[in-house]
Amino acid sequence: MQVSDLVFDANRLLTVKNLYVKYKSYWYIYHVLNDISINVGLGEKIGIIGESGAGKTTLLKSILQVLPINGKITSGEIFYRDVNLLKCSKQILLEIRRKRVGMIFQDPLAALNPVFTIKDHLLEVLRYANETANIDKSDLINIALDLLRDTLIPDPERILNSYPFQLSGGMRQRIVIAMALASARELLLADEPTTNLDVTIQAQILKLIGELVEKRGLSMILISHALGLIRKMTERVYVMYGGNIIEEAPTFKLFNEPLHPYTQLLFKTAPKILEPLSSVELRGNPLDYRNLPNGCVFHPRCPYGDSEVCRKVKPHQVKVEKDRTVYCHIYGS
Amino acid sequence: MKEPYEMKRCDKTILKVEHLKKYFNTQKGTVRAVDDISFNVFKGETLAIVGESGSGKTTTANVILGRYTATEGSVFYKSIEIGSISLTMRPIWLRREIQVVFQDPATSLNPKKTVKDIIETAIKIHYPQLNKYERIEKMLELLGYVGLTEDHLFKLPGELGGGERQLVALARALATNPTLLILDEPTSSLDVSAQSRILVTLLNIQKNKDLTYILITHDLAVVKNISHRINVMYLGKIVETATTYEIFTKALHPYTQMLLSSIPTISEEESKILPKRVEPRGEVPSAINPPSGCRFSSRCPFAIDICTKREPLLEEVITDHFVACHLVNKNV
Ligand SMILES: Nc1ncnc2c1ncn2[C@@H]1O[C@H](COP(=O)(O)OP(=O)(O)OP(=O)(O)O)[C@@H](O)[C@H]1O
Ligand SMILES: Nc1ncnc2c1ncn2[C@@H]1O[C@H](COP(=O)(O)OP(=O)(O)OP(=O)(O)O)[C@@H](O)[C@H]1O
Ligand SMILES: [Mg+2]
Ligand SMILES: [Mg+2]
Repeated sequence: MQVSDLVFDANRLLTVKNLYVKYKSYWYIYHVLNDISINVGLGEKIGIIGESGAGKTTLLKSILQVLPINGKITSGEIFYRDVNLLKCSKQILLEIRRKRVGMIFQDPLAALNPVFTIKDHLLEVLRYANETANIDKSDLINIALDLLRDTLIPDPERILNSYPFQLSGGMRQRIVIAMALASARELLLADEPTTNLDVTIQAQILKLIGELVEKRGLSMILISHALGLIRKMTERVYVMYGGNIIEEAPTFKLFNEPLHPYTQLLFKTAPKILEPLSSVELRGNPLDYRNLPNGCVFHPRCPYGDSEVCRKVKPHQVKVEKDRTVYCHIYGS
Repeated sequence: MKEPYEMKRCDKTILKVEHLKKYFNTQKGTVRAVDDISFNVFKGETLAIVGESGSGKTTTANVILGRYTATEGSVFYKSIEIGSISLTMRPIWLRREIQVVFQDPATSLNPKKTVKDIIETAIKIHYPQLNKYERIEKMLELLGYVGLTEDHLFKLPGELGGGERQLVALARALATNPTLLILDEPTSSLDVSAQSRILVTLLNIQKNKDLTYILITHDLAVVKNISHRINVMYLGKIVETATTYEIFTKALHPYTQMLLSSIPTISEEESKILPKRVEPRGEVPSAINPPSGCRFSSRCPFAIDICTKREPLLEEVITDHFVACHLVNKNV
């Protein structure tokens, strides 16, 4: 059985609808994703930004269904092309993971197995990605070496035979990028892909990803705290806070004029080259996923969140412009 | 912009690295991870180490920490040679005084211990005289410092977001009341507001306790905001060192210029103040067989004949501004 290549709407390569995800621990239940909907079109470059702990990684892991064992999707739908990922067979899911979608995990060291060499890691991914092509091992090794060269890793032969601990942080990150690129034929999920790289290598790697996006017609979801990177690499951005999408806009519009009070704060507090540091003390406590606030999730910390409606009513989607939405009562009436 | 920093104000050297080399032997040859570097760290300052990935920044930190011993050269901490003493041989006061927050928070924290255990253990080892209640008090104070709450105490590292884990690692490092804190990418996994909060916290702690930081990072906006001086590394060498102000206004080494001009900016105004674009290019050189002459020559857009023949030395070009580049040194 194959994932159909034909039947689907080009605006909807990936669609997530009303997704809810929770984590269970011994004592508590954390409601981490609450009613998330996003969509990614063919060839589209999407950014996701938001607070640490907002649920960005959880969202990507839910899409590929590689959540930790205590994580569970409780409701919602995820469509890849015309396949419902939550209902499809294991086989189709594997095919999608191995041949169509590549994921760059946030924590490279955790994504690499310490007892295997880089060669083992790359060959495993390449073997599956090229399953049908019948390529023998020495060719796979050459492909692996090319991948390392593409990702600007020095001494490719040394690195191929090294264990993860023998690499620098940035090299490990590039290995994870190389692994993802091997299987990303259609969609690349990149979770903080360049935090450990110096900006010159970062620029070269982003150029590489950019070229692949062009060449393969790849779509991409990029998660990053580096706002400059999001500005440079994406066309449309979702902003997350407390497991909710709170704003969505074309990248240049968002950077010109963020609308949601949280997004405004985010931009104001980012460390900048020109200005001295500013740290705005948010009022209230950090979000507690065991007891999410009623009304707007951001209201306890929002500078304008004191009104009755903010405290009681969850904001609906407000279409500010044709391509801009925000979930905030300020823009509601 | 940050005030021009006067070197005279902090003449007390706390750490002195001299001709440090760290080589690793591998099947494919000897990796010259750190290849003859020298620098000082003054008490109460923040020295940033920036540079190419794989240039030996973490390795340098690891030698200072005793995780690796030096292949050659020495590291003096308060005039004691520590570069040849491995971690297990170091006296406890030394281990307490030099602390670190690492690049990979997920792996530096024990996945089976709760946040409470992790921080409490650090307090217990270094402050055995405190009783249970004092320990809890100290723990809560530390959590408050870094912006975590009691809710986090009973979570395992795996149940925390990437950023939260980094905060736990920071709280643990601060638990021992260190003198020298090495920060290896301390904020790279945090959102920007948490970054700013941590950085402001770090600055305040530094002021109150006269703490010294060695900050390793790729985020130049962070460097700009909190460091006094900068060492720029490339392939095991220091290629430029000067005050932060100098580096951001008068970067001389082509690699430094390339680095600065590649910063992704968040507004047009920011783009304007960066140096003229030096397009990153070229193959990344090998650490086993570094290019002959200047190690940057293979990627340098301005390389001339001599660059591939003779290795440039780190020379003082302007007061307190050292550069290793034939193009610059020639013009002195
Ligand atoms: N296995 C788990 N068990 C319990 N809670 C978890 C687990 N994994 C994540 N969480 C919690 O879920 C929330 C969201 O985590 P997630 O990793 O998705 O955040 P994130 O947006 O990717 O953050 P960051 O920017 O710091 O990477 C966090 O509060 C985290 O503590
Ligand atoms: N234990 C080891 N065994 C063999 N080689 C090693 C070991 N540790 C580091 N290296 C090599 O030393 C070089 C420098 O690594 P280091 O981790 O110091 O780089 P870095 O400057 O911290 O880079 P990054 O910015 O990517 O973290 C790399 O080429 C790396 O592969
Ligand atoms: Mg994450
Ligand atoms: Mg490093």
